[in-house]
Amino acid sequence: MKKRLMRYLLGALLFGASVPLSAQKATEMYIPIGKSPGLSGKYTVVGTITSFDADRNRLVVTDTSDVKHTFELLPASKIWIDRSPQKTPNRYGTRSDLRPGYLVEVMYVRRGTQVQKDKIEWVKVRPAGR
Amino acid sequence: MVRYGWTCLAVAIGASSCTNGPPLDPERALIEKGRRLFLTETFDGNGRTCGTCHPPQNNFTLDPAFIATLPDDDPLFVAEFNPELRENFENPRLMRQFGLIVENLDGFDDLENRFVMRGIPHTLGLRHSVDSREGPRTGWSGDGAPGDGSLRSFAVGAVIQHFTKTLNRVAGEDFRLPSDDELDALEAFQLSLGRQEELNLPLPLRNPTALRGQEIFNDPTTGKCFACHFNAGANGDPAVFGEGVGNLNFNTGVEALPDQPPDLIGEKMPPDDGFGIPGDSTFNTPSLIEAADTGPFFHNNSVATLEGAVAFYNGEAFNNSPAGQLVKQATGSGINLDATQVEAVAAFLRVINVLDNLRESLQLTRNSLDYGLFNRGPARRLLAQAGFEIDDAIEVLQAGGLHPEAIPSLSQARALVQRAHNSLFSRKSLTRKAIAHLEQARGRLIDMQQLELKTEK
Repeated sequence: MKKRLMRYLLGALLFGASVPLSAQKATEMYIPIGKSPGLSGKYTVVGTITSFDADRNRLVVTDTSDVKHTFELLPASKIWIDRSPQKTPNRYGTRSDLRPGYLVEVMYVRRGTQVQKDKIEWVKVRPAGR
Repeated sequence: MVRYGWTCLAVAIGASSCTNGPPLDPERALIEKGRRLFLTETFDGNGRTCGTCHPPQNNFTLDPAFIATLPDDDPLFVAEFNPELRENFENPRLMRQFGLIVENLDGFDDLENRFVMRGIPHTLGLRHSVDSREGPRTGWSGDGAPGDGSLRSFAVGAVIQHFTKTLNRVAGEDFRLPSDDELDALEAFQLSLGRQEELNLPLPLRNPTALRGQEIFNDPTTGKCFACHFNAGANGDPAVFGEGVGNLNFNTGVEALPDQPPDLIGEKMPPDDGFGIPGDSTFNTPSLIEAADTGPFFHNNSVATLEGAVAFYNGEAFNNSPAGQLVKQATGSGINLDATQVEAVAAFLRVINVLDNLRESLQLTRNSLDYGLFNRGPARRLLAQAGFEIDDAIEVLQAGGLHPEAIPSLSQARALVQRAHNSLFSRKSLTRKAIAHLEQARGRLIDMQQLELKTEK
């Protein structure tokens, strides 16, 4: 009896308090474009920025196969500047760093098995020519 | 006469298995590669390896007693002798006194103020303590790995956080990132460590206090421990949380404990908000089978003893926490064990830990027999590790006043393992004698006949 009750209540409370495993370890910032273990090429798009509409938060990326991808930049989306080719520290970026022609890697939002391919979890950007 | 002697020697050598050890299948080869990487690869960083913080001779974790044995130039103490890492990389005082390391879990934009101090989790039994229905959970808050968050990816984050030459953390300059092959090998090695199976409680233990502790552990009206530590492991009870639930996070109120040791010495220790950025105050559930010889306990090493860790669940910090309130609502009461019950649960945890030490030492000693006279290196390494396991078993039992009748067998096994380690021609015979003593000791802790019957069912 007690075990059934426990199952009911704990299950209900756990469901209500379930934690989406989307938290990204802070060290991700220091991983260069294309090198994220288990993510790059699988749950990310690597390409160049075609355009960024700041008013509509729309980022368009053309990947290496010339396919265009459109993403929504969310308030919680992280932007990082990949400066590893210049051997200088990577840093947090801002929307003003999302410029056409820049190399980017975009990871889309994942919550467990749910994937939202049009929403940005994080974007790493490397200025053109670097 | 001399010719006779040389002939005897030749026969003896030939008779005593001259094999180079068991053939390495691809899986074993990958694990061996992972072991070498784990213990020796610095990834072009500050000199640390994975084994710096996860040494095999200390159950792949660190505690203040072990740290005190290390020389001052050990890479663990790199913040004390590398000028680039002197500030905001580690807190040497908290490291040496409490076994705590710095983690910048909420980002690296303010190293002076945004950090947490965490203990070092062991890497034993990971095969059954990482997976969950919602994805892999690594580290003390379950979000320890970058990339896909898997155990395989964990090493990348560890290199960035702990191996860097400077606080710039530039890949290719301050460290190099592990390659895909290296990540595969490291993962294989880590998964090979410790137990490969879950326990199946209840066990036919011989000590009445440990037996009572097992009952309390599994009782939904008293200990209630089984719900989050099913079979004393790291996973939730499927009957409570659903099939395949795996490893879970909870807010058990550890952060609310008063008189945390670092606070008592006036060191800066920001609050730890657990999983996520910003955190949700939950922390990951560790396995309890390995607990008795891998203290201190909880994510911040706030409790030094096993009995203290069990007693924590009686206190206000736990019973007022979200997890504690959950338990209260579900069962009608919080956890309220009396002193003898706390001791009983701790005794149970001690005995199952020692049983795991014995399982491991038996496996190591048996595996060492596969190596012949001309390939002693791997055999000696296995015997050395078996020795550490036996040391742990003796220490855990004695600290709990448990099974004094098993100590002589364990001590003899320890001595024999040491002699076997040092021996050239008698290694195998000495090892077999050690195995016999280990089996004898095990028989004093658990009814093996009943256990085998239970396993067959």
